[in-house]
Formats: sequence, structure tokens, C-alpha cells
Amino acid sequence: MLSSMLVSGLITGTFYALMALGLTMIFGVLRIVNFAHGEFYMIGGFAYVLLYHNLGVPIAVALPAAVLAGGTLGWIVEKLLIRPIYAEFGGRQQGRDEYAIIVTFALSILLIAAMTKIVGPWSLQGPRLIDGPPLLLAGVRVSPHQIAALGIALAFLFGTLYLLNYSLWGRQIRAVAQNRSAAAVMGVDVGKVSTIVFATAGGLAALAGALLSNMISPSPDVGAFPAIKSYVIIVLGGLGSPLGALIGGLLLGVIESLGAIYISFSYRDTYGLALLVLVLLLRPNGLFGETRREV
Amino acid sequence: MASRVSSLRRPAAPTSRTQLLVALAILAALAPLPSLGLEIYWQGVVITSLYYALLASNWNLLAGYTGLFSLAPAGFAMLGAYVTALLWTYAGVEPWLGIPAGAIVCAIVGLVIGVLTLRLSGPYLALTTLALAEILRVIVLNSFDITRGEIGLQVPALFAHQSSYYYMFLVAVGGFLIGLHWLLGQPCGLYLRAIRNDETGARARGVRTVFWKVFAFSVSSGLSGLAGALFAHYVIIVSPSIGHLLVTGLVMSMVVLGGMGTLLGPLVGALLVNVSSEYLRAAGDYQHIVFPIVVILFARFCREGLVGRAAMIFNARVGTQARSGAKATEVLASP
Amino acid sequence: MSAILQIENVTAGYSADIDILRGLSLNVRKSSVTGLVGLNGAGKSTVMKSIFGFLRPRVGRILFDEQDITHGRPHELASKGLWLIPQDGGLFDYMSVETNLRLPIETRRAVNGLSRAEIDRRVADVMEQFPILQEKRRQLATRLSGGQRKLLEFGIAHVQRPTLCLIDEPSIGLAPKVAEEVFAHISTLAKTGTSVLLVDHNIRKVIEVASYVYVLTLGTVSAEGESSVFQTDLHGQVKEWLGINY
Ligand SMILES: Nc1ncnc2c1ncn2[C@@H]1O[C@H](COP(=O)(O)OP(=O)(O)OP(=O)(O)O)[C@@H](O)[C@H]1O
Ligand SMILES: [Mg+2]
Repeated sequence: MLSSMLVSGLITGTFYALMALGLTMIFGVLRIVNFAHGEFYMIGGFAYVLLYHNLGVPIAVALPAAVLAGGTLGWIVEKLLIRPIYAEFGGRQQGRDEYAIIVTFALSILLIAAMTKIVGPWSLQGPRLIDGPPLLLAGVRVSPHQIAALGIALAFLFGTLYLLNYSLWGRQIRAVAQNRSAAAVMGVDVGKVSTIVFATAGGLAALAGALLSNMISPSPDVGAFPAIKSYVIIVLGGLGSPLGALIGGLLLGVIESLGAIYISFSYRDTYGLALLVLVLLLRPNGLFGETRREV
Repeated sequence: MASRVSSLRRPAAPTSRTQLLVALAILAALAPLPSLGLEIYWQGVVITSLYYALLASNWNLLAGYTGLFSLAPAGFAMLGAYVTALLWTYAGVEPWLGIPAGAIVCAIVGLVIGVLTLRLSGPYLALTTLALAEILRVIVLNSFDITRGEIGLQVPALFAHQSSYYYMFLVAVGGFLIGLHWLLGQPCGLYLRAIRNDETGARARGVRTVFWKVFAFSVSSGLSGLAGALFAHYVIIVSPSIGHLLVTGLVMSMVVLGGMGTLLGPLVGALLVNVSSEYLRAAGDYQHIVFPIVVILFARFCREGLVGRAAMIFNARVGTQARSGAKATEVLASP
Repeated sequence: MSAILQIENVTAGYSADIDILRGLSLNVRKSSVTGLVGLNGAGKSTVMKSIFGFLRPRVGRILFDEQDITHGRPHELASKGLWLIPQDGGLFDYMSVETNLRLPIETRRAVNGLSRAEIDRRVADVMEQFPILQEKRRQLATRLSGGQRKLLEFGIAHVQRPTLCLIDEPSIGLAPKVAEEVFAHISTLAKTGTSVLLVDHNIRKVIEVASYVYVLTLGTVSAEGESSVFQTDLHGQVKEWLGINY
């Protein structure tokens, strides 16, 4: 029972981490929280479901298309709404925070409302990636679809982490996060990096939305909880720390799934808040907070 | 410490009471409408607008004057409403006790959240309040046996006639704005604005920034709870929809549209947004599409809001210089 | 002597209504050190930021190697052969010393087409020149002392072999001995063909390493000349340049 709960917690946690990774990268590079992150997830879910059901696009195309949709949205949002703040506020963090919170929160509501107008308030179940009889994995019954989804999520998660740490591209992103002007001096186009990071984050969140659309049917407001969990995770892991996002995501997944059996199933979404309060109380800089710079 | 803050203890910079007077004039103009035959339906619209004006002014106290961003104004209103509703349902506590109890519970929750998050620099308050607001809603929805979930709880009405609520909310908004104007003229109001302008600078000059931030957040949470509890006894059914994030979105649009950091802005914004919401809703539920767009456009191109812009023009006419946009907003940020 | 950098009549500032630089003109000579001195707040760092594209001049133009770079963006200038050692914080604190040395040149490799062997050779050169960096190569930059950080910044600049290096207050907060070392590195840079624009408060040292000196007062050049001219009566000159207006 315990091991099976652990496994299912780790599975959920992988998807949380996928979302939180993008969010924490955005924070690292731009020093802002994207309050429309859940809507990237939602857009990914809907793109996948609608392409498949309404246009008959095969899954192998619909899934990359969903990632692309999230990435494109991230790209546009950064260019249109986030970019201007760097021209206007210079070094003033206060004005920038103000603007970023207001604009991304408004964007979140706009996207939810617009999606409700387009597809209605209902939820639509997404197609399975592959069909087949369930298998046993450490005592947990998982469908081949879940395994496939998990595999793709893990591939993207570790692929992104690998690139961040070992590729020139990733080290440049980390350079921008650590010292914007020094990165520019050495020849990194910081504006471009910011756009790429936003697009990557959008793509990763959209991927999570698409992969989960069979288990959690997308509705216009489906992104709220995945987003809130990623907020908890990035604080838990340390704002701006990619490794923290991974560990934090897995940890939250496990805690929720343990809480679901030992405390109460219907309140499982609330354990994140308890965890958040504990982190703020005991280790406000997060698990990997020592690598966080002062702003 | 007192000597170190002496430079801040000067009386507030000479500022116009005009905004307060205009706000009171608007309220006074609204007052006779029920007796002049305003339809019950539109009376309801005005009452809701005034309820929103309370939430918006409260949020403005945080965002506009102190530079704190809470994403739970609606969440606290819902909490306040549920406190009085639960007390009534399970302990038979009368509203006149339940309403203040709601405010106190919210102030305490605000105090705890404030102490947890406001010691830290970073976006922790916004993150935590968002999580709190949504999770409170989930708890209410899931505790069906106690809260009856989405169906909601019935609470007693305070008055027999709708016009009585109308006057009550008029008085509440007027009282709140007068109180806010007074508060901002006190040293404490100066501290709050100093924190918004330059927190490090304020701390370096001896302002206990964490204390005052927590104070502002706790007071504002309590007052949001109070507004929610009052509203509960007007709508008579307390349901989780009071605390929806969409409501927070509306409150934010009212303040941004009216003018952050202006006394009059939230009231003007609340009336504009809520009344036009009626039409947008009738046209097919466009309010949650239109207002976020308005917010984004204002945040981008008109950060001082309608009242801020109007005051800039007014000041320029009168001859007070308002050179750059940023400077003008700072001038207006005073009460 | 021909100029590698020409600033012509530049006016610039941080907000729309305040000019920090007011009609500033100066030249940086090829393969030598040009000094820029002035009081706190005169706008010296602002000159550096304007050259490197962090701040757009409102009026005037800036030529680098006879090419107009007035509206160039920082990352483009890096690949043209400009480098900046800023007044504070030119390092990536949470990367190792070695990564700090390598990342910039690897970033520019993509544009400038250096071979990997060349990069390795340059990094090894610098490690030899700065034994302390060799010793601490695996440590995070944040663990270095202030003096070691400055040396690392010079090491990074050496790896780049820039055509023009802007150096803003390198000796600030350093012990005299480390400051000496820093100024020696500046001379080395110039000897190896890099032109340097140097800002520092240690006027005596600036005049010593520079061949030409400008005095900046409230955003304009108030005096200039060959450093040999100033060396004779430094005290009187300094008084005249800096004392007169205040
Ligand atoms: N980011 C900024 N925003 C607004 N004003 C600035 C900014 N940076 C500098 N200034 C102003 O520009 C003027 C010149 O500053 P600058 O940093 O260029 O001086 P400096 O000559 O380098 O002084 P120091 O010797 O102290 O380093 C100062 O009055 C300063 O207040
Ligand atoms: Mg300087």
C-alpha cells in the first residue's frame, strides 16, 4: 500500500515538476512570477483534445502541436506584455513586480474567459496516447497510456534539466539569471533568452496539460490547481532553482498521495497550502535556497 | 527610534482633500435615488457596486499605498461571510456578533499570513494569498456536511427593505474613505507610502517596515472580511462563489481602471466596472473578457488610472507642475 | 595617433527630463590607456554604459573603429571586440571560477569562430598568469574575496583579447597591494594591443598608466591632455580641475 502510494505520488509529482520547472525558469531569468501559468497548461490540454476530436488530427501530431501552442503563447506573451517592463522600469523591482502581477493575473482571467466563450464551460476528455490492458508497476495498476505519458514527461523534464546544466544554451540562460548585464557584456542577447525561456515554460506547461488530459479532462479553469501547486513547489524548491522544482514537484506529489490515504482523499488539494506554510515558517528560501541570489 | 524617524514625522505633504470631497459628493448624489424611484434591480446593482468599492478600496490600501499584492480580497470576503454564516447556522449567533467575528477571524488569518510572508522579500504574499483563496474554496466545496458545498448556507437578513441595505453600504463606503484619508495623514500612512516607494530606504530611516506591512495586510484582510460578512446578510445565501478568483480579477480591474494609489479611484472604478458589467453580462457574459483587457491596457499605457489622469490634467490647469508621468502619480498617491 | 573609439557630442540620461551626459566628446587611442577622472556622480559610469549600449544617447554618435555603434545593443558590441569590467558585479556568482572564465569566450565562439584549442590555450595562459585562479578554479565565484573577484574579472578580460576594454573603478575597495597588481594588469592589457578606457578615483595611478587623460565634470569634459603634462604638477592640476567648480 505504502509503496504503491509512493509510486503514484511520484508519477503525479513528475507532472507537477514539469509545470514548476518552467515557472521557476521564468522567475530565475525575469524575476517575476507568471500568474497565467495554469492557462498555458489549459491551452495545451485543449489544443490536444480539440485537434484530435474536432479536426481528426492524429495523436502523434496533436501532442507536439499542443506543445507548440503553449510555446507560441509564451512567446507572444513575453514579446507583447513582459518585454516592455525591462525598457520601462530599469532596475526598479517594485514597479516591475506590480506590473507583472497585475498583467499576468489579468491575462489568466482573460484566457479562461476567452476559452469559455470559445468552447463552453464544460470539460472534454483527451484521447489516450496508446491503448492496452493495465500493467502492474510496483503494485500499482497503470495503463500503458499512463506509462507513455510518464515517459514523455520524464524525457522532457530531464532533457530540459540536462540542457540547462550542460549545454551552452542552458549555461547562457543561467548566466542571464545570475547577472543580466554581465551576460549581455559577454554577448548573450538577454531579450532573446527571456523570450525563449517564456516559450519553453509555456511549452512545458502545455505538455503537462496535454499528457494529463485523459486523466484530468481540460475545462477552461482546469489550470488553477496545477498552477497553485507549481507556486507551492517553486517556493519549496527555492525560487529560480530548476533542481528545486524537480525535487519539490516529486515531494508534493508524494505528500499529497500519502495524505490522500492517511488523512483524507477529498482534501488532497489542500496539503500543498500546509506544506507552503511549513516551508515559509522553517526554510523560507526553499530547499535549494542557498543558491538564490539576493535581488 | 523616534528621533531617527523624525524627518518622517512631518505633517503629510500638502495634498488635496478634493478626492475625498468628490467621493463623498458621489455618495451623496447616490443617496436620494431610492426615494426618487430607482428600481429595486438597479438599487441592487448600486449595492453590489458599493460592496465592490469596499473591497477595491481595501485592495488599494495594500497595492496602491503600501505596494503589497494580495490575490485574496475575494477569498477574505468569503471567509468573513462563512464565519458569520457558520456561527448563525451552528450556534445561533446573531449577525450583529457574527459580522464582527468574521472581520476578526480574517484579520487574524491576515496577521498569520503577513507574518509568514512579509518578512521575506519576493513575491511570497501574492503566491500564498492565491493558494489560500483557492484552497479555502476547495475546503468549503468539499466540506458538504458542514457548508452544504455549492448550495451554500442561509443567513438571516438584516433589514426588511432593500433601501436600508443601500444606505448601510453608502455609509460604510463613506466611513471607510474618511477613515482611510485620516489614516494616510497619520505618521503610519506616511510609513506605508514610504514602504511602497522605497522599502530599503524606509527601513534604513528607521521605519519598522515588516511591522507596518503586516499591520496593513491584517487590517485590510479584516476589513475585506467585514465587507464580505455584511454582503452575506444582504444576499442571504453564502456560497463559495463570493470568493472566486474572477471576483478578485474584477476588484483588481476596478482599482487599476480608477487609479491605484488614489482615494477616489476605487469607488469610481467599482461603479464603472460593476454597472457596465450589467450590460456586458446581458450582451453575453463578456465582462471577464473586457475588463482584463482594460486592465492590461491601463497597466501598459495609463498606469495612473482615470482618476490619476484626471487629477494630472486638473493639476496642470491649476498650475501645479506635473512634469513626468511618474512624478505626477507620486504626487497623487497622497491622500 | 588614431582613435579606436570616438564619442562625439553625446547627450544621455536615465529619465526623459534629466541629462547626465551633456555634449560629451572624447577619443580613446589605439593600443594605449586613456584615463577618465571626475568626482562622484560626474557621470563616468554613465559614459561606460552609453558606450556599451545599456543607455541610448539622445544626441550625438559613438564610433568604434570608424563604425557607428551609437545604437548598438550590448550583446552585439561584445562580438565586435568590446569588453567591459563594470564598477561592481561582473561575475556569475553561482558558477565556478573556471566556468566564469570559459563561458564568455565560448559564447563568442559561435560568432567569432575561435577554435576550441585556441580557447583552451587562452584559458591556460590566464591560469598561469593568475595562480590564485588556478588554485580556486573549482570554487564558486561567490566564495572569492573582493580582490580575488577583481582578478578573476581581469582574467576573463584577458581571455577575450578585446580590441577595446572599458574598465570602471577597478581599484575601489582593494588593498594597495592588490590595487598595484590590478594596475599592472591594465598596463599589460595595453601592451598586448588592447585599447583601454580607464575610470578610477586613484588619480595618481590613472595618470601613471594612461597616456591621455580626460576630466569629467557634470557630464562634460572640463580638461584634457597628455598625462605627461599633468604629471609635473599633479596636485595643483587636480585642485584646479576638481576644486574649481565646487
Ligand atoms: N540607474 C540610474 N537611474 C537614474 N539615475 C542614475 C542611475 N545611475 C546613475 N544615475 C545618476 O547619474 C549620475 C551619474 O552617475 P554615474 O554612476 O555615472 O557617476 P560616476 O561618475 O560613475 O560616479 P562614481 O564615482 O560615484 O561611480 C548620478 O547623479 C546618478 O545619480
Ligand atoms: Mg561610477
